[in-house]
Amino acid sequence: MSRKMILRVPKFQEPKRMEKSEAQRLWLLLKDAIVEVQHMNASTLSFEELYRSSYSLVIAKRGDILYTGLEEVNNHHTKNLLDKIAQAVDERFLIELNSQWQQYKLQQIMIHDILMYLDRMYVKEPQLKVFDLGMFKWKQNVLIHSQINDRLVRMLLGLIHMERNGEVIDGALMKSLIQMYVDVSLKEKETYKQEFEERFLLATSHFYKSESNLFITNNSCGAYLKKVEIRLIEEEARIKQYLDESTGPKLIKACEDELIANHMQTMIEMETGCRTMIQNDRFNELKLMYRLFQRVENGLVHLKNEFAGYVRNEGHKIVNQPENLKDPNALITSLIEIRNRFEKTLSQSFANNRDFINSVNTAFESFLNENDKLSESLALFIDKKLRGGFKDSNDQEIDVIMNKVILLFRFLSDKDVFKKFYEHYLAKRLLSGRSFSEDLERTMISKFKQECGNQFTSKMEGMFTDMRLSKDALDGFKNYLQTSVEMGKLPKIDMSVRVLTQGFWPTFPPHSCTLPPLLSQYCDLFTKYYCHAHTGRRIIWQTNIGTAEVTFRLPKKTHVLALSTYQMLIMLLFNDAEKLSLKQMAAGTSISFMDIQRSVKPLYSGKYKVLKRTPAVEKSKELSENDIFELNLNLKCKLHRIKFAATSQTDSEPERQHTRQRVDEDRKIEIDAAIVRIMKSRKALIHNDLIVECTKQLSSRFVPQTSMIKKRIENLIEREYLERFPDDRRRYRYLA
Amino acid sequence: MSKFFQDTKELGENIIELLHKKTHLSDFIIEIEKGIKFYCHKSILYTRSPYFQGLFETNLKENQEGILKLENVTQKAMEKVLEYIYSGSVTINPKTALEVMLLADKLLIMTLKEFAQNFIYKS
Repeated sequence: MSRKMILRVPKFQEPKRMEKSEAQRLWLLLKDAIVEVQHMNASTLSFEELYRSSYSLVIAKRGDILYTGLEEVNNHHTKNLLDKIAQAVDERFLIELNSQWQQYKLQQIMIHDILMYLDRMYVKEPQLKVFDLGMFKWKQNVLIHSQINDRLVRMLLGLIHMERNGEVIDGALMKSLIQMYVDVSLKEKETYKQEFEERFLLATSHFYKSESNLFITNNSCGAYLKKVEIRLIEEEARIKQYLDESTGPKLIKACEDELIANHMQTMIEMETGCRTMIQNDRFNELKLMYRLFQRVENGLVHLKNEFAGYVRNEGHKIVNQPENLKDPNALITSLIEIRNRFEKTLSQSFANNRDFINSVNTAFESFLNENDKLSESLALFIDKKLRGGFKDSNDQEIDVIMNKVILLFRFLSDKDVFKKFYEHYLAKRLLSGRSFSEDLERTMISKFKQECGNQFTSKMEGMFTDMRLSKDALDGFKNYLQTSVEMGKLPKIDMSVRVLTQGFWPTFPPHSCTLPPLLSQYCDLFTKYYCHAHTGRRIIWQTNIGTAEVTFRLPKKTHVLALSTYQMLIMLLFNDAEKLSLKQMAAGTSISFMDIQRSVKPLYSGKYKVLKRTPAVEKSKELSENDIFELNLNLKCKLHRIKFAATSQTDSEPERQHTRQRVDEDRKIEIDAAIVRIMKSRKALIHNDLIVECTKQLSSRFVPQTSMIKKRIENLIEREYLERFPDDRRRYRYLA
Repeated sequence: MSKFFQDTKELGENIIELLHKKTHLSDFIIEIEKGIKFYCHKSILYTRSPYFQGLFETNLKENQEGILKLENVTQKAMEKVLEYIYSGSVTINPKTALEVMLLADKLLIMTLKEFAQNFIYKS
């Protein structure tokens, strides 16, 4: 209200400043009333009379008398209350304090109502509002008085301590007394924070420090975790029950620090801790640990590292176990098993946390590439499955296994090595007719295709095309034979030929042999037929991977022997001889001595022996050129058809070497191509950058060795694709 | 889609009916000079003026007896202020403006006080 405005109205006269005596009279009237209010017997007073008194004082510019008077009365009253409260002993103290406080608060509301005009029209900053003035006086003269404050806080903390130890306390009383600290705070709850909260948090930390140390030494980690969870729930409830909500985050942080953060290392390392839980698949305990560790800074990092370390260690054991090194099937099966196991832990305990999954994957990557066995083992594992291992599984199970294979494959750094082995075994399956199902073969390949793209599987798909075309060609050939003039002169044999496109198929080590005249005539006929149908093509016979069935006539019985082409050639020699040395076999067939050795072995040392060594010697003895064999005419076998392994079960070392060599050859080409691609786009590059770029480009297929890249660079310089800068030998330039 | 609708005019007209029907539902009397009585309603007074809020909250003599005696208040001023309390609208003239302003000030009805004040200033 502005006085100037009012002055313009002629009728209105500004109230004169009241006589001091009159002001004093009004104040005394109010003072008596306030004292009555403070003694809780004000109900006979007139609100209007009191209000009017304060109103009159204010409009008569005597608000100061009223305000200072009020301050004095409050001062006096609170000092009296202090004595009364301080005298109360033991638990009476809290009850007395609380009841006085509750009354005082009500009185202050009433005083505020009566003095409302003063409050609204007179009080200006920095003066306290009427109610705040009352609160301030209580704080100054009662609450933070040395006789009260320390005693009160100690008792409150004592009660909380008791409650934490399982006793029941008066929650409503706690709430009222703790809220008092908030109510008397003028801004930002400063009294509450300074006088109560700080000490409360300290006491909390102290309590949980000693409790947790004691508990964790005497209990298992699982029990400790449960205890922590319960404690945290209790503290959450405590906040709601009687603390100010602003304390919530601080209290929980203090508890988490003492209960979790300070014991993380122990919980991981202790005998019943994290390690044991992981080892024994204690999913629920781990889940709880995850939930609790998640609450503290870096908690999950500790847990994750521990888990990843365990995974790496377990994987390391599996890939280096001697039995697994010998048995690819066992190796891959164990790997799939632990993968399943860890995936279960991840989903059941660690909420499939991305970081956890990534670190487990990194662990897999590291141990799977620890030795170079894995590519081949994985290829062999699938080989076994596709040769019939899937026979007893349903579609869903097969899909699961295939996906696991892809998963392991993804971790391989040398995918090209795997590819070579896979192609190698695929070729063998197709050529020996041992593939269990073409559908499954194609499903597997499509999964690789999805993973690595067309380029990865184009050769494999080519093999299938060849198989189909071969069948057509063979049908055509059979028709051709029936119409052929030459046919009449030849005895009938059932010949089957597969035409393999060079490039799609692994190159088998070149071998030569002399076919019996009849067979070579058939071969010539086929060549003639095929080259006539497909002009411009050339046929090279790969006799070493063929199979044959021959009739074996014994004096009393006849058997059909399923043999490799080489074994057939060897057996055919016995049509004209009773005894043959290995040297003679080699001479009669033009097969290398090594192949003779490998082919003969299953014939005399397997379950059914069609050859016998004369004179008989120990089985294990190495064969030599002059060892002599004859037919075993006493062969005892109930089977009509007897099947012999072509050589030993798995690939021989030379074959494996051969595959590896081919991988190396392919890598050279890939590296050359990468270097040229990079240099073509960059024109000039420093040595190190080229190596880095090259490694990056090839990483999806294999990890090239730096020395190999260096050699290829040298080679490309020789072939004049690149040259060194004359002034800087470390830089290369691309020569268009 | 929701649409906003408001009719404060009718609201005011309806509520002020309470005041004109004298004793109807009245639970509180305001008595001014010459014994003139106004039959009022605690809930309305409570919501419209901090003065009455305090009066009813503290539960002193007036609340218990259900009657408030106001000195030095003219019938015209009381009528105008109650009209505003009940309906939210009021017409004032130079004769009543000052009295209305003073009473509104005491009862802490700030909007009415300011209105009357501005009226006086401009006239």
